[in-house]
Amino acid sequence: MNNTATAGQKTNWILVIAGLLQAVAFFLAWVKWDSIAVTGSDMPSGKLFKISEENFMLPNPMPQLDFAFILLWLIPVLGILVAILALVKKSNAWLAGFAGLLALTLVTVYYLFSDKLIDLGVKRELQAGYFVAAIAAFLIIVTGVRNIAGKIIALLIGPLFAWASFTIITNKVENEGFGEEKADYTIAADNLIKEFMASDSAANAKYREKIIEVSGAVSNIEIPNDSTVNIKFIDSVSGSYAIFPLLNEEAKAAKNVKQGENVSLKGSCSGGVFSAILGTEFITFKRCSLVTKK
Amino acid sequence: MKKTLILSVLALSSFAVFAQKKTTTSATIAFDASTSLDKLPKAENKTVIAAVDTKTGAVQFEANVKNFAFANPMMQGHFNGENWMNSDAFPSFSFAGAITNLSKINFTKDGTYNVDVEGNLNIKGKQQKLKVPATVTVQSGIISATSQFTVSLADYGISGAPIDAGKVRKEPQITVSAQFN
Repeated sequence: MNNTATAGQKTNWILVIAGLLQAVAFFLAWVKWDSIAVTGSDMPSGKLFKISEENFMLPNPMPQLDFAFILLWLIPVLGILVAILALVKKSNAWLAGFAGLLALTLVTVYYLFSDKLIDLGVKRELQAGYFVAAIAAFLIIVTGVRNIAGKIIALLIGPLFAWASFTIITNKVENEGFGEEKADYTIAADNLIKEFMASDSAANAKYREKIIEVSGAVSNIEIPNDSTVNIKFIDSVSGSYAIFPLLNEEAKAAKNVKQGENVSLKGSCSGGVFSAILGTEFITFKRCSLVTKK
Repeated sequence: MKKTLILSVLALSSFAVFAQKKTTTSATIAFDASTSLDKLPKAENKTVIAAVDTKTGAVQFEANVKNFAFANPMMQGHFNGENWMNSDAFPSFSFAGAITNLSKINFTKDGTYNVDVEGNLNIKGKQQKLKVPATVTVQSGIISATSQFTVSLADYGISGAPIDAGKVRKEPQITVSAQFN
């Protein structure tokens, strides 16, 4: 009887400490990206994605889950509740399980998102707050949830959900076809070339790094290799041209395009440069897609 | 009659000169500065203009710097930024040189010929001498060429923390491939 009471006391104290640690750790630095510290609360506040976008050009890969991120404010709230309930010796396994689960979900998201930044050459250093939050969540689940199956589910479900969602969403974003982006300008090929020939600098200022949909009769098709088809619109008088490289899946569709056929192509305009070799202006595009064949 | 003859000779000779110079607007330059720490600094430009003169051995290529396509926008931004290619100020780069052992190639006979190309590579307004090996292939009258070499970023005034930290190779590998019309 005494042993059971002592064990219960111990469990309560572990829950008090772990609950409080979870609440405090939420506001501490979890990770440093280069020299920028990011706290646990930076995720639900929206600061995390602001930092990654402004400093490392990696925007929020899952804006559709913004509403769910607000739920993460429950992590410190539930941590404190777990601590209070343990203090008054009223345990609540569901509450403890949910508190730990949420924290472990966030811990997993931080790890995965930071991993993406490493791919971009950003130095990642996990901070004390990250480890404290992970350990506190683990202790809350292990001591607060009664049966073993419940403990295992609470420990695994958050990280697994975070990993699956993150993987699915980032794969979707990374493999998203360029064709889905909206064009900043839609213009006929001959007009585009004329604009560049009239004023190279003005046209570059207007079109460079913009998404442009260009339509016209195909002047020439070059197929340098199996995975690339370059479609050109050429000004017949000057020889100046706009060129669209279509790659991989886009190249498969482009192989059916014939010279003289009217098509619309979309791409990110890299601007026009005068070629000393050809003595003409050449306007290049990247990330191109075939919009329509007319 | 005499005038017509002179004009005809001139036209024919200019055609002959034109025929010697083979060009393409679809050459590719691949840039690979990836390291074990960072696999992403690599890109390709598929719209490079290249020319080879089969008579003199002259070789040229030029490209729009901004048309190097990277896997992600961050790398693209760094590559075009002031510390790197500064492509707003220097929108293109070029090479002009010649095949030094042109006699090795028989442009009328199918085959693969290993040659040397020597010339000047102009990046960011800085010109550096370059001597690189190249492989020229002739097949059914179509001339293709490839060359793989490294350049020192420091030679072109390119520096920065990612290079010092070993995330970007100090001497990226450049692969040029072209099929001439």
